[in-house]
Amino acid sequence: MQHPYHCLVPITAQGDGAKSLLLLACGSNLILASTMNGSIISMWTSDPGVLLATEPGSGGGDEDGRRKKRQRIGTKSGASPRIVKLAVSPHGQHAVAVTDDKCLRVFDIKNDVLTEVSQRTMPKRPCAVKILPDNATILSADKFGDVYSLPLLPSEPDSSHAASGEDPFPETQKAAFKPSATNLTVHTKRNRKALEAQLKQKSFTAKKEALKYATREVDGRERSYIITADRDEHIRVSRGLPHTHVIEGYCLGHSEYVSKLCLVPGTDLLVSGGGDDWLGVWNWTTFALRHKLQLPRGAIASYAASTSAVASERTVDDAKDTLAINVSGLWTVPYMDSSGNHEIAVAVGCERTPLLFLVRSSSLQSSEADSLLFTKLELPAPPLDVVCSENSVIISIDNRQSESERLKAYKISEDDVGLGYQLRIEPDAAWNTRLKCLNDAEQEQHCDDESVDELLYSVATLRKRRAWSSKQGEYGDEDPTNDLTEAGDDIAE
Amino acid sequence: MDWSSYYPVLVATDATKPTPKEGPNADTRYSANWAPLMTKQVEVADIGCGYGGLLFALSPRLPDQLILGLEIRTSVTEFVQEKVKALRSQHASTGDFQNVSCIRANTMKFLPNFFSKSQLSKIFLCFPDPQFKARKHKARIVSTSLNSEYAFVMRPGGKVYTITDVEDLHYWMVEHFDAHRSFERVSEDELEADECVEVMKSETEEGKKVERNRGPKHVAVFRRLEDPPWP
Repeated sequence: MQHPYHCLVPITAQGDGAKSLLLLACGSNLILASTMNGSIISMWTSDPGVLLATEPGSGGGDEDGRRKKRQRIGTKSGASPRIVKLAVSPHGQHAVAVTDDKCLRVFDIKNDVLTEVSQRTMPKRPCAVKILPDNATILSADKFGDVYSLPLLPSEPDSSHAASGEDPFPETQKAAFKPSATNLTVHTKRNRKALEAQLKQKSFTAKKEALKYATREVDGRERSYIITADRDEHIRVSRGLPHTHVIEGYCLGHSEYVSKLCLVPGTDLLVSGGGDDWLGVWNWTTFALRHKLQLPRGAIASYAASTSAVASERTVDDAKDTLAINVSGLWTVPYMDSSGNHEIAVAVGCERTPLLFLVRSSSLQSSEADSLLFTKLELPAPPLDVVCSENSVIISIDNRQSESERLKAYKISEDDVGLGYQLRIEPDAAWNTRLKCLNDAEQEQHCDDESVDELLYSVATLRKRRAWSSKQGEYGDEDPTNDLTEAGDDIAE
Repeated sequence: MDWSSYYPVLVATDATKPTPKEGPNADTRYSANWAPLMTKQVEVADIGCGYGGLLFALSPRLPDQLILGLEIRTSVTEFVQEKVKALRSQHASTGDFQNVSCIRANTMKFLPNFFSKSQLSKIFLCFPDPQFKARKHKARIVSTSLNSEYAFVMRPGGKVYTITDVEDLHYWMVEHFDAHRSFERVSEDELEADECVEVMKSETEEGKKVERNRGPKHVAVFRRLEDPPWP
């Protein structure tokens, strides 16, 4: 079985050796390919041994927690850690890969060879990673609500510090922290030891699912922001380095988790998607929801019904009612308008749905009926990632159930025959020939369907089980009622 | 957020019909966001208010400010809401206790849903759950990331009041607020002049319990600083 390519990143190198490459993740393999002919230039495979080696000592100190951790690792041991996220530095010389052993691995790609230069284990597995425009700083967010900034190339070990969670405590303070037990406090030696251990780590708020780094100019000076999204319906806009402790505002309005954010280039618009059946179109500088863009439920439902195992018993209408949409991808893609200008559209993928929806960035705030705004691209299998190269759009597809190629290229243009908002999407023959090499490549890969599913389709697990959670105790996290979705509004002024 | 049922006498009288909500999150396409205008906004929040001892003690002392208790346990919240109702009807002639209310909330997750930027002048964190186990420290109500959220809903110059009988937790809270660049610790002298500190020590249910057991009470208050200028 061919393992699908689940992360794609383009690399555009500047300077003399102007080249364009493609970085692909395929299970535990990282592949550097040429976009000229699709040939594989370099490949790196994670080492199966590291999973166990990096684990001991990183636990919080609680016996139960440790045992659980060990068990979990035990079932996975032997398998190579798989790549979950990729990022490439703006100047195209370094790449960062997050592997599912909580490692941030930095690669040198200057000479078209993947060379692993560092490997840092994070406290929790990163779920979003970015390299800042300075080409020297990595931002890494995890599901425990922390955003860390790390130097791209570590000068000394352990120099990471939390960005959103601010600086760690200076060494002196840590040493000075010696709580003394009194008869009236109920703590044990172990408790205190654990407390000290925890002080080194960052604390927890909402789970961060997406991370964007944005800049805008105010009075001629560039300001940078970190935008994060979480499972608790929030989109948070914080200041970028160095004042990351300042929260500028929240984009409130989602009633389900937010898994994906997409900044629309050239505008102040931010598109958000997750467990709601609409996309949020926000002005992220004023935190105002400009539009709720209704996703075409009908189209998604018909596919959900036809692909699901129990399809025979469910009608499309049934599926439409019970359908839960999980937005698993938001990408910007280029297209050519009828007068030959380069424009931008937003592409939307929903988990396990073999469709890609496109909406022009210019019509994100349109007053037209939302269903008219989307152009539907039917794919042989669900899309996993989308990448743009030379105005073509390359889509990686979960080909495990179909005979289709793993990568498909398309060209998008404006339809001049008057289909309104519809875009014309045509296979890009030239690109598809170039991708043949990558599509045919066989990589030695230990994978079973279940574990691949787990790797590719994790977004839906973010949805809160509301009925169940109402039974939770005091610190049960989810709100059992829907009150709080209304609480997403400001106080009337 | 519709506060009209929490502070009924403070609904703007000229707002007889729902007014489209204004502000940063206005969404004109969805009428669910329409809420009556209020003449005042909540300024004081007691996070983890429990049975509301502090709320009812603060009410006469801060008569011009709206005070809100936030409590995660549904039944406790209901108790406080009933008590508010009873006190209001007992004092109907004087109009006392119209400025206190209580809402069920998980503030660790949803604080920004209740308050807008710079809305609060005081936040009380009284005898929070110590969460002794290291594995549970993430459930503590004070942490670097939560402090950023407190800073967001507080106006510069506003104060966070903390009190606990658990020394560990006291150090933890001091450490985290001290390390946070949006807060500075308020001096002992200033604490003595602040009647809220005394009320917090004596009027909370936990405070009384600790008093009976002659336990220690550790108080620390922190001031919200101005945000730094953009670089």
